[in-house]
Amino acid sequence: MEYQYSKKDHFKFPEKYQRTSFKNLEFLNAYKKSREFNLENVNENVNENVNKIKKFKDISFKIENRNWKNSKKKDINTEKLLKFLFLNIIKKSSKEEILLNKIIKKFEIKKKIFESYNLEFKENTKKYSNLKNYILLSIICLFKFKKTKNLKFLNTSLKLNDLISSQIKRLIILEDILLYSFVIKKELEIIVILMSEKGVSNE
Amino acid sequence: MNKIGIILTPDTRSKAYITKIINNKIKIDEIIFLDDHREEEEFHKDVINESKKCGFDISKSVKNIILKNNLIVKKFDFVDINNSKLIKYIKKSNIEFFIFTGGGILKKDILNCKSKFIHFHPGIVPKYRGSTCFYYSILNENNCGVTSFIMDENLDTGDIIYQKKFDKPSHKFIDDVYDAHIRSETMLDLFNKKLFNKKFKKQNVKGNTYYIIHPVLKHIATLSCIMDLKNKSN
Repeated sequence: MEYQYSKKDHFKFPEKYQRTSFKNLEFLNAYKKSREFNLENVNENVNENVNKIKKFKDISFKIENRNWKNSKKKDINTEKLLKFLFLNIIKKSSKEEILLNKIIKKFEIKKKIFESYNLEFKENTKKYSNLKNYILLSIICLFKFKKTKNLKFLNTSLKLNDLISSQIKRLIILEDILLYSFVIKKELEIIVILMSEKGVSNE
Repeated sequence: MNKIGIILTPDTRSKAYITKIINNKIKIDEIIFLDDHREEEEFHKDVINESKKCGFDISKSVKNIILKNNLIVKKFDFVDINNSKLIKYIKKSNIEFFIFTGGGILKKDILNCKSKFIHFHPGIVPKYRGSTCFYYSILNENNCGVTSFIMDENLDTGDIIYQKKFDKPSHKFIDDVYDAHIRSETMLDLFNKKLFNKKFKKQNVKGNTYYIIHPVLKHIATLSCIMDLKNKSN
C-alpha cells in the first residue's frame, strides 16, 4: 500500500480530505514509510547535517523577528507574520492565538497560504507557492500541539506536511530543508506516541 | 403540542432519522424532502449489517423509505437549504421546529422565517464545534457526544436544546453508520423526553472549532475503537 496523500501536487490538486477511506493498520505503516522516505530523500540532497535542528528552541536562531504589518500598504506579509508568531508563541505568549487561528482557518478552507493578506485577512495576491510559509505554520502548529495537546493543531500540521511533501522537489533552500526535516521528524515522533497511547500497534 | 417537521436529504443521516421516526411511531407534522436525484451509494454487506444493528438499513434509499411507508412529503429538486423556493414554502408553513438533517450554514433569509431549525451535531459544544468531531472526541475522551441546538448564522453556535454522550463504537463504520446512529438516537430523546418546550441554553462563545480530520488521525481513532475491543476479548 502506498500513502497517497502526499503523492499528487497539492497546489494543482488541493486535497480536501473528505470521507477518506479506512484501510486498517497498513495505512499507518504506509504513512510512516512515506515520511521516512522523504526524510532520506532530502538528506541525500544536502551536504550539511540535516539533524542540526533538534528542538523547537534551536529554530529561534534561524528566524528573525520583523515587522509583519505594513500600515502604509495596509497589508500583512505572511512570512514575516509567521516568523513573528513563532517567536511569540515559543515565548509562551498566548496573545497571538487569535492570529494563529485566523491563518489556520485560511489554510483549512483555501488549502493555500497566500504570500500576503489585507488587514481584514483577505488574500491580496495570487502568489501562494512560498514553501517557507507552509513549513513555518506547520512548525508553529506542532509546537502548539506539544504545549496544549489540542488535536486541531496536529491535524493542520499533518495536512501542511502532506502539502510540503508533495512539493519536495522544490525544497532547495538549505534552511527550508533543515526545517522540513525537523518538522517531519517531530510529526512522526508525535504520531508514534499517540498510536501507543491509544493502543494502536502492529502487535 | 409543538408542530414539528423534518427536512430530509438523500443521505445516510436522513435514512436513520426517518426510519427511527417510523419505527418509533413518532408524529411528524410535515416532511420536506430535498432531493437532487444523486446516484445512490452502494454499501458492503458488513456496513449494511452494522446499520441494521443500529436500527436502520443503509442500503434503503430515503426515496424508497418514503414510498414504502406511504409518507406524504413536499419534494424539492435541490438540496440547498438556503434555496429561495424552499424559503418561500417554509414562510407559509405553521411548523414551529424543523429538524434539518443536512449540512451547511443557514443564511439570513431562512433564519428570518418563523420556524426554528434544529440540528444534531456530533460533538459536545462548545468544546467540539466544526467537522468530524466524533473522531476528535474518541481520541480525546474515549467517547462521543451529540448536541441538538437551534441553528443560527454561525457554525455550531446555536442555543442548546439537549446533549447526550455515547460510548465509542465497537466497529469501523464511523462515517457511514455510527455518525447517523448517534444523531438519530439523540433525536429520539428529544421526542421521547418532550424537550421542545424546554428553555434552551445559550452557548459559551469561547470554544474549539475543528476542521475535517486528517486520515492519519482518523485511522488512529478508528483503530483505537476496534483494537480496544480485540484487547477486551483476549
